[in-house]
Amino acid sequence: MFEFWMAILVAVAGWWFFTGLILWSVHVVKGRQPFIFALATLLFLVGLFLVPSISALNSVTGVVLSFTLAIVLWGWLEMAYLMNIITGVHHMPCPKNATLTSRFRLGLGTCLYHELGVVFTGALIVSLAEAGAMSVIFWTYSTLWMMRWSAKLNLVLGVRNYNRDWLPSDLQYVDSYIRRKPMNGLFPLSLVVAVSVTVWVFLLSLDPRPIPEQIGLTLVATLLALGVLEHLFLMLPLGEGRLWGWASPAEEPLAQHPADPLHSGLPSQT
Amino acid sequence: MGIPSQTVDGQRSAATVRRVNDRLMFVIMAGLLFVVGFVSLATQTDTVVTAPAPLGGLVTNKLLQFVDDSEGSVVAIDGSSGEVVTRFPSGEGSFVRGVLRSLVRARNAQGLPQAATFNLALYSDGRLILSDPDTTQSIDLVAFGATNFQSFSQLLEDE
Repeated sequence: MFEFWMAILVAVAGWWFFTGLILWSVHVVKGRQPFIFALATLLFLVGLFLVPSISALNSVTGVVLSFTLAIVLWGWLEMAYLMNIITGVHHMPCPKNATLTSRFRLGLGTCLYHELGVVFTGALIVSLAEAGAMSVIFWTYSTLWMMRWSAKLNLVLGVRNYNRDWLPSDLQYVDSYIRRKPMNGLFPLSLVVAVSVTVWVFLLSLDPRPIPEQIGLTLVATLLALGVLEHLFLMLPLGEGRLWGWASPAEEPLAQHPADPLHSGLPSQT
Repeated sequence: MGIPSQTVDGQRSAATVRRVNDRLMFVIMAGLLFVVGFVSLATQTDTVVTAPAPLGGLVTNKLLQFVDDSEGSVVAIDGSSGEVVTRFPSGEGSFVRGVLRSLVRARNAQGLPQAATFNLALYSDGRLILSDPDTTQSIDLVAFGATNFQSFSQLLEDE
């Protein structure tokens, strides 16, 4: 049982650390972004180079390294997007009266290169990682990937709450693609699928099997649970911003008027 | 560097730096938690997987080969006589499969062929250890509980 709780701690702390580090380097550090990004790129390349050997390690250390490696590779893509280095084919805000399909299409355009990078890196991991065995690198990366795509689709369809402050000033236009709604048709499906997969992987991790595999499954299950939590925050009346406030910019005018047409637009109880 | 205005500038920048440090503290804190968890996990559990040297003498042992057949079962074959010891039909023996997979993975990592003869040994201190003589990788089966222990110890009892 000790390993089980330790694996949960490692997954939560790792996710928290790397998310915080990325947000911190994107928002807080001014003027040194090129240096940080160069460093991150070096880490990304070294990480890719290490995928074959780390995925072949058959030990708890190997499993946790695999988990960390997947987060590092994912983190680089995230950083490249947030630093406005690898984004999409255009940087236009969404036209006012765009339909859902054109909003989706144009929205995809704003992050097309980023998404292709995500797919390409995923394919690289599959081809580099040791074949056959359950690869923690692959499952961790897929979890981050699927959770992100689900969240993005929900954002386009409309969510109650999302943290606009996460977007640096260069990417504020992305906000025009996102709708505020109390609920959308995809959200319940996203949540049911995500919760089911989370429970399933947690149950798998409790099966009798060699400890490295148990740890690997626990790490992935915890990450899935964190993804479910982030989905919930999209629809809860309190913002995800509370969770990450400490790593976001300090004096942003946006925080002064948390654009919440939902609450202001609600008919007063008459 | 205008000396007269340095106090004002100094104070302002000190305040900004302080704010950055507060945030960095949280990142560092999470990082430390991560490292502490990682290290304690690795040191606590890697020792369980790699079997420590048994204390008692060898009671009995058997060389075993494990073969996948066309129906998806795993067949355990006595390495010296070539007789079938037992058969784990498809969907059963998930623990056996898991253990074998991790031993075979270690062979793959060293570029050894997948087909192997493993040594299943029972020691007088109660240890049941499955080891791969080629990779020297061994798994202490006692660590996985009675049911899982049983799934391997039956391989010694038969005959």
